[in-house]
Amino acid sequence: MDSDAAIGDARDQGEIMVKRFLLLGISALFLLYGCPAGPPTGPDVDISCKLTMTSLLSSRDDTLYVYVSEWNKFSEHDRDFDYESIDNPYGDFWSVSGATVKIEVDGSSQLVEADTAKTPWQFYIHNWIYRYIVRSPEILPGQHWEISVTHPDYDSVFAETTIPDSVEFREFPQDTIRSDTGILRFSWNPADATEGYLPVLSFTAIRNDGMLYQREMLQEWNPEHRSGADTRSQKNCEIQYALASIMDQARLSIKHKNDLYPNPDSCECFYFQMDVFSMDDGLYHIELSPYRPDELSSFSVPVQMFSNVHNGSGVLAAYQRSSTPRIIIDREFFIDYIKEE
Amino acid sequence: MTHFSLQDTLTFSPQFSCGVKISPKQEIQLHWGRYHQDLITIGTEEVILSMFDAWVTVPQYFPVMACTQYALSYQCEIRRHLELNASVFHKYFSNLVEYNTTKFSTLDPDFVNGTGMASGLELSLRGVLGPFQGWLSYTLSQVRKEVNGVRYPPKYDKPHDLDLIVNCRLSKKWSMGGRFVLSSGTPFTKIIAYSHQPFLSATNVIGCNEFPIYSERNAWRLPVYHRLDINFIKRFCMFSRPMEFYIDVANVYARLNVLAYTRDRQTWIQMPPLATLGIRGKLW
Repeated sequence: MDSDAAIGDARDQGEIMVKRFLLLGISALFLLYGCPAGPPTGPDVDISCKLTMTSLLSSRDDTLYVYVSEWNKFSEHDRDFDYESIDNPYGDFWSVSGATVKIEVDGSSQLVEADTAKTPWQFYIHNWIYRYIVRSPEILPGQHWEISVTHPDYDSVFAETTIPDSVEFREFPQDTIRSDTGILRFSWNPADATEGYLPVLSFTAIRNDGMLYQREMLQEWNPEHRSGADTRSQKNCEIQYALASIMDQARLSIKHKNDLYPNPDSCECFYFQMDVFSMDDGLYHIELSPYRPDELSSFSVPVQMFSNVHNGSGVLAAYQRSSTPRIIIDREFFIDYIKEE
Repeated sequence: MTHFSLQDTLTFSPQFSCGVKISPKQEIQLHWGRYHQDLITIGTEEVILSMFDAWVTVPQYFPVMACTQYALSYQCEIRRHLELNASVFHKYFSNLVEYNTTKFSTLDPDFVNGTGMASGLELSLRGVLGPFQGWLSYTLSQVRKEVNGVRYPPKYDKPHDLDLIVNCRLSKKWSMGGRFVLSSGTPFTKIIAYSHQPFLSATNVIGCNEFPIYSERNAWRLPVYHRLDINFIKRFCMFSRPMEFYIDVANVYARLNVLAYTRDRQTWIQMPPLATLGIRGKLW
């Protein structure tokens, strides 16, 4: 009997302990209720002294521009922007003035001037109020360019690149270009002439190392461009968009010779010009950037913008353009093709 | 031995374990093993909510994934119904196949391969203590992946992870249980700044783009995660069958655990307090 009583007492004490524990626990829950999370943790970077530098080296331009921007903590969309209080009338709060830009080409310095947009038109062309320019640069294949930017308030940045070589072209005998599929597609390889791919046998390009560009062009010639559904393409009257392709580090486009929308009834034949853009690594990556999976979705994959600028961000890019002799494409095919539409 | 037909590979997966009783209540175990797997899930580190995992086989152009594991564990029966486990482990993953998150053009591969490692210490205490039964476990670990030359902690890396599960019988009919979780925040890639860059085409500058500048991959961590779930169960009989009436409450104290930060600087919070009640049992 005594042992039963002892067991009963122990059980009662246990239940009391449990109840006290529960009471304490429930009280603690009220203290913790709605407990906010703290800030995220990670390696902080002093962005106030960081710069972005971008420049495109093109032998076609008579002025070379170097754009220098600062890093901002907030997006321009986050800013409660007071346009009246800023110094400039155009809304550029990113460009940086007072920087020293040094450019060396194969070791020799170039004269760099600071430039300021003085009219809305000058601003809207480039979207930079302050920029740095080199007048009449001589940009030749094989040159090694180095650009450094220093500023008393920011970290120095540096980038370098080599102007790519242009490509050479080789002509091949012309072939009939026809298709029964109603879709105009080109192929570099004669073996792919089946399945609706049209062999471009009159032309191919070689690189300096002798390798042929023989990759397939899988893009279709989108009929929308020709029917006028895409107003942008109709405006410029170029037939280049759907055929543009990025291959290795070259971009290819096909343009109508006259830059006019072709009228098949008034044309004896069609002249196309192949442009091959030899790009350096920087421009190649920037060209790819529209295809990045980084869209404005919260679920998207964060992908770093390509940069070849050391100690900052941005890109120093260069290209060479090479044009082929004209290519004649069978007129009857086009007439039939357009009439079918 | 396993033959993977897609890769036409014959793999050898040996495993070795041995244990030594150093006293009637203490034991040390050593384990070594090599494992292979040809199934991967298509998902990225950055997917916040995965609705389902699509499993596919490792592409033919990659070897099957392999893992080598070492583990040393210690078990001790502290007293009756109370057991302590401690183990250290190290795993090395070779040929980890990942979805290529930097696939930009059709020329880029769908998958890339890399390596990985996981090391850690696990402690667990389980058994009965007074009116309570349950277990307490703590893991100290480090997990890293290296893909495309970038070494980073994967999204499920939690250096500290504490898990406490307790069940308690309040009376003959009532019992309650609870689970408390406390762990390090998981890694994520943070936007640390914004900058502007001319939008370049091959021919000229055609505009200006604002673009985010990200931290190193998964270099940042969400805030510490903790949560308490409790449940109450009442047993009763219906039609001479044992039944249970239950109340489950998840995230009892409404901890504002962070799910994600959006690009527009909003904070997405995970689950608010969520109560579920019902009856379960066997009717036949």
